[in-house]
Amino acid sequence: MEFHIRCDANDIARYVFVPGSHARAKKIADHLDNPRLVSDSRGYMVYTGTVDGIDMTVSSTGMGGPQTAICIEELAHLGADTFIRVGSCGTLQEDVACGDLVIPTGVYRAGATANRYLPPAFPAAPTFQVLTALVEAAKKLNIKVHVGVGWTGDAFYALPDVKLMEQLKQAGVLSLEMEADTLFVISSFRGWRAGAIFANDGTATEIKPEWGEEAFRKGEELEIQIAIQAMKSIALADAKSDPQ
Amino acid sequence: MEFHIHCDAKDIARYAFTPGSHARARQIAAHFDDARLVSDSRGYLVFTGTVDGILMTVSSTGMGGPTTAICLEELGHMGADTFIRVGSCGAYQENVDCGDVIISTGIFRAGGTANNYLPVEFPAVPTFEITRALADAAKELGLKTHVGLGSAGDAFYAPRDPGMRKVLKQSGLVSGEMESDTLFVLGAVRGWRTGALFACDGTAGETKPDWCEAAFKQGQVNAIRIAIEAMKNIALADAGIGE
Repeated sequence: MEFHIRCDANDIARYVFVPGSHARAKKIADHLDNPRLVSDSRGYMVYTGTVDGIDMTVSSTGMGGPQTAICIEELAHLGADTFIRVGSCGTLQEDVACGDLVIPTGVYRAGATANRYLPPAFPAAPTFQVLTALVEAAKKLNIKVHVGVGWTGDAFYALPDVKLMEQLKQAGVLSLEMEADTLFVISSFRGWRAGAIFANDGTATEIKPEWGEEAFRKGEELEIQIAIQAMKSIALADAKSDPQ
Repeated sequence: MEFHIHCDAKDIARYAFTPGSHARARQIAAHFDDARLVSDSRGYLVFTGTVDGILMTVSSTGMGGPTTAICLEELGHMGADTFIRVGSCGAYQENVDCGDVIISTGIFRAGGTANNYLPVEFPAVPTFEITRALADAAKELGLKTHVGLGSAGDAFYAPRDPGMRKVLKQSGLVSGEMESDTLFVLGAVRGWRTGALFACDGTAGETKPDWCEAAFKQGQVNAIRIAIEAMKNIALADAGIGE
């Protein structure tokens, strides 16, 4: 029994979706066959079910590095080794609209949790196989995505470093969120596979505007479809290369 | 006329290969049709030619961040916007042999030059489109590659920190070399597309052993073939031909 995610290895799949939000965890679980709630502890809402007969788990991480790190470490203790974060984000770019999807190829490490594992010089980057599976899934489902670098930080309400943000905007940073640095760095450190996709809920000038809500919800549904399709293709490739 | 690469915009293609070594620049140019030497200045050996009618340039960068950054910036001034580094590297992992080809997905920023552009927290990662083109080209050519993270640092002969090396190895780093951090970070700042692949000239335990030379040369040939095929496919996609 893990300290914080109170369940056992037989409750957790190898393939795991890790949204930040509880509500999104439930929405992902609704896409699984026979989902069951396996834990509701410390804010970790954990469901396990199947997709085309493949066991998959979804767990909310909560917001920020510290509880995301605990979440993925405990899920890995229970056998998970492939993670897709299905998140929300803000944006720095004018051409990223509310509801648009972003697949990160790497994130700026403004968060501190991952620094306890590896120094900031280490690139917070997804696993190429998972990144490619997400891009391919979007293509297959005919859903438009932005693919590029993002930014991850710890403090939603802290004063932004305006000058740095302008530099990062110019350097093409697409997304702003709070968990992907932790996921990518710890996954490298532990030898897991990881990727992420975000639905944008803002604009380059507005944070979570109410008028963007409907478009964001549509984007959220689409990112869930892409993540599930990608995870399925990864599991099928695993079964092909390593038949049990 | 640029300060260090003495040539003009008409001499430089949009599509540029940037090996570290002069000799490798020559070898890449040997794959071009009608290759001509357009500059030989400050150690930048620059050739331009065509591949299937597509104009391509190759320039040696020299070793390390400072000379690489000047090279890329001046090529960028003259119209280059798509860069593939065709390099050599050492290995962190036991499963990487001499002559193996590694396609980079991101770099530990042990170098200093890129820090003059963006803080070290910024991820030194290539453009997905380029990395994908390299991986697809390798597959198309039936050549085995490793795809993963590496490190890039400034000081080949500086004492190594064995503790850090162990942690980086455990974290899956595949390659060690000296230029990709600069390439990837500058690419982000300037809005260029970048990618890199390396032929391995060592093992996890040995730096550039003599017995590795023949395998490395073959790996170098493989890396060049992959890079040229990938660049061709990128150019075709830019032109709206193919996928």
